[in-house]
Amino acid sequence: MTSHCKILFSGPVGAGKSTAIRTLSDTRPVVTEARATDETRERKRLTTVAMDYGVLRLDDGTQVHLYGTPGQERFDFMWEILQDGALGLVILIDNAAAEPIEHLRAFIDAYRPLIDATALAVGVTRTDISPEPHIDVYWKALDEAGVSAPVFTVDARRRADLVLLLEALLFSLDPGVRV
Amino acid sequence: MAGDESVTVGVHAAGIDDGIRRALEAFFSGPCRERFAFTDEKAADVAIIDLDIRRYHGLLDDYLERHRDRVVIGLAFEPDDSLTDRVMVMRKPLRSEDLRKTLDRLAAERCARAAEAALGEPPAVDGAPGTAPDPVATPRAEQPVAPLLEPAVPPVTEPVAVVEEPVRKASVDPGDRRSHRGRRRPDHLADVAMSVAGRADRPLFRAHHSAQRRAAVGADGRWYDPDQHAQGAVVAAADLARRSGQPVEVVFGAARMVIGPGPGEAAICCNDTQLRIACSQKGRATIRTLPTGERSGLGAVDVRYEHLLWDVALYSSMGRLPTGVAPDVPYRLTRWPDLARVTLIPDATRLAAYWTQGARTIDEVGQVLGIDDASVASFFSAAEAVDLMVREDEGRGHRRSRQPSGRRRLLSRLIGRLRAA
Repeated sequence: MTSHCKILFSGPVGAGKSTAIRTLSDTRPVVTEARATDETRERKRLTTVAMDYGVLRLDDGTQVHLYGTPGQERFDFMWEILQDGALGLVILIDNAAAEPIEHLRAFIDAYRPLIDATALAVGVTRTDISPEPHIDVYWKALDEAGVSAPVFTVDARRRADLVLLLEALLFSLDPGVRV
Repeated sequence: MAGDESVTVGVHAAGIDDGIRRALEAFFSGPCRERFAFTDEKAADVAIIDLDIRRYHGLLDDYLERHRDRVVIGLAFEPDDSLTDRVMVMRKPLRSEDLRKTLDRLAAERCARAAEAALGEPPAVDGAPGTAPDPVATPRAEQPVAPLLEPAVPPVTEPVAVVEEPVRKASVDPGDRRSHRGRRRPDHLADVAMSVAGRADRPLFRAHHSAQRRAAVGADGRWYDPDQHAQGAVVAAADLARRSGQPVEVVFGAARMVIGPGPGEAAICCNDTQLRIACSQKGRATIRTLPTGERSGLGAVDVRYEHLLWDVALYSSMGRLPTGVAPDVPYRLTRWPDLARVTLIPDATRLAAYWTQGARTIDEVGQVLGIDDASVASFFSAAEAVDLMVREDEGRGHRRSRQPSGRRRLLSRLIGRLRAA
């Protein structure tokens, strides 16, 4: 019998969640996209409305499911559904957004029980478009929230960046793990 | 020659400087142009990538990911033994005859694969695996060769507005780690990036495989004095830049860097190998202020100051601890460094995870995690240089320590799977 576990990717619209899952997944990801009708359409034509799904297959048959949540707050009921049983949480934040630190705070609040029970890793994307706020500001926000988590500047298209972020998440769960 | 003369092999070059490109163009327009064509990425069968550029790991990873059926010829002064077998390393300076032989071999193997596919059985090919070994290039091979493509050593310009001082004149007591730390990271360096051009840097530093490191540890023991290495020079330059309000150039051996007066501003004007070699040696630096704006004309790649200082400290440390640091005193990592943008050492993520969860002594970290002392010391030195390490009695807040997850096998397999793919 194969076993399963999952890692959750969350964050605001346009932060790169769908891209990250596409970059990491062993299979073609399942996406639930619809044409954007609200302010999101100014940023992209299609947006995730339920979830993105990908999978990593381990050599013993275990499947690690990668779930991406919709970014818009009006779909926040999906956040609760998807976080159940997650191994850990990756929050991606678009540094070029108007208020990225507010986004980080909001998502920490939304996932506080999961973060307290498991671990969090934060990926800051699009720093090539907007180098500010600097990563120090994210650290400060995490400190204020009483959360210790790795914060890396990442490109969601680069597998190496995402692997490092996931490694940090997984070792945060247990640094004693030997590979 | 084993290759089929009728086969034209497309060769594409990525991440190389203009000098190497011109030399390759001359090579491919020479006598071998019937068999090899210098082409664009799409039409290529083989890629040549300069492994000495500071962002090469990202470039190489991306390239191998995009072209799973291609072989890459990597050019390097000092080959990295962590590379995949799909990378054939040729040591710089590169000789045209060696490059021709390597390409001949690749052409022969390509021809053999085509024949194998057509006939259903492998034909014998000179130089193919299982036959006589090729002396020119095998995966991870190193060859002493004569120069064709010389390394691009950046020119050192004459001082303009000189505030030249040896590193040892730095206005800090080398024995005072607190003041040293304060000097290294002025407050104004905490916020803004000058540019993002260097943000993709993430080479992997195999400190414990380095013969240089072993030699240095043998000579100096477990500690090193940052002020006798490039690390001290970079810190002194940052201090001068802040005080003068002007960019400051620091030259240390073959390494040349510019530290800007603004928050986080820095640039590097040499390749990673030159930086690594320079940092590994003791020496004296030339430090001078530059007129505002001159930095842009130096062919510099912008990096964040703290990322540069991390790398310089890592290379200066070479598995040793900064003087004044006791391995039996508990330290804690206040925050995770941005490991996606600095040079990594093996187990950096484990070390960061463990050290952010509580204060541990350096000796304890190595023993508990089963990581060699040199890697622990290198990580500590880099993190301490960028002011991320605090002694327990300097603690800034408390971190919770997690219990073992009970899912170690799963986590181990998952991390292994991520790394292997």
